[in-house]
Amino acid sequence: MRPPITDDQFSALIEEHKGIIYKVANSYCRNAEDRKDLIQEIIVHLWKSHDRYDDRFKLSTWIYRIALNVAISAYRREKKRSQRVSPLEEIIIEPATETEQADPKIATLHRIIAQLDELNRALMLLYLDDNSYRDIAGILGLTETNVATKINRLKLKIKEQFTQTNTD
Amino acid sequence: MELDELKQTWSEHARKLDRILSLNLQGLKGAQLDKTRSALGRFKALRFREMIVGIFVLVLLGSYIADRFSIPTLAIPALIVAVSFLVPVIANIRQLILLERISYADPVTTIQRKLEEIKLHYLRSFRLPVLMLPLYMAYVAVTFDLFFGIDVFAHANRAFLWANLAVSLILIVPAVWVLRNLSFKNTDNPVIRAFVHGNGGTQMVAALEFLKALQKFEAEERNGAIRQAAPR
Repeated sequence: MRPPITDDQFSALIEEHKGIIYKVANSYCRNAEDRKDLIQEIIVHLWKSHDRYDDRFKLSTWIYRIALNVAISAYRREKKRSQRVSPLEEIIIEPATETEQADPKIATLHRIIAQLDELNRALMLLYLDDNSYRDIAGILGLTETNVATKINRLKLKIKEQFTQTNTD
Repeated sequence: MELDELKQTWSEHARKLDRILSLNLQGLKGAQLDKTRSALGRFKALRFREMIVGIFVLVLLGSYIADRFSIPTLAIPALIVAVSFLVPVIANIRQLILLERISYADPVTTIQRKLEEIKLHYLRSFRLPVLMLPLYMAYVAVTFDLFFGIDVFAHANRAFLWANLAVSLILIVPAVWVLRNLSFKNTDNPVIRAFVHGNGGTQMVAALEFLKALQKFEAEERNGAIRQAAPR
């Protein structure tokens, strides 16, 4: 059992990896209010799982796994999250929507991500975040070969989409 | 445009995000986080409440059976009703154990499959009412005794009993058919689909379809070497 983490240590951990948490939440939830709830849910799971962190894996791998599992589960939940109790209203990672809107390439990427199913979305996000095939395989529970095959397929699909858009 | 070009744009965007995102740490107190119940926690709490209610009903039925132990026309139907409560209680206990073992820090495909499999326990719980359908007279007998103090099997006329026996026998046919076909492989069957939807199983169908998608997502794996997530 790992020694208990202090509030300050946990805050530092979240601060260091807030980008991962935000990007995962943003990929599965484009509504700002629901996204705050999702970020909160991810943070709660990170807090409740920190004593089970296996240090054979990178800290980022652990964070990605928890964030993606929570985000996919939330995405799949059919009931509105408004039914949930949300006592931690103060945890807010300010969205950077203005930056996203300002860059058309980022907007295009978000459109592409939104078209993917929840599993391929995770794969795409991990690839865009410059994770190695080995790390992606570890986070998703696939083989490196499988990851490579799927990424190649995604690359082709995106290339086709752009070709088609330009032709149209 | 290639994905690798977009990847570069994404990295630049990520760097900007890191600078722009602000985190309000005031709310990040461990004690408060401990008290916050996640969606999974709420699901567990719901299963736990169902289990407690089921156990309560079983205790009442146990007492009823003990009181009427010498009257088989009431004790046997009550036993059948008790079984219909015992099975969901056992399913709930099993679900709670499985939920307790869920760690979101495990690989995504592993956890998502486990979560969907837990949801699929509902499918099994749908089977129970179907299985009990031909035995509906057991519920009638217990209800009549509890509310009107009448032992239906002892006092009803023969014609009534034969008619109900005939209905029970007829009900075996649809019950057997549904039991044989109520499987996630058959969610494309409109009758099974309608049945599951009719039993509040919309989420169940979604779970079954997601399991299929998961299987497809992992499909290429069979062509490569299967291994666990590699340690750093």
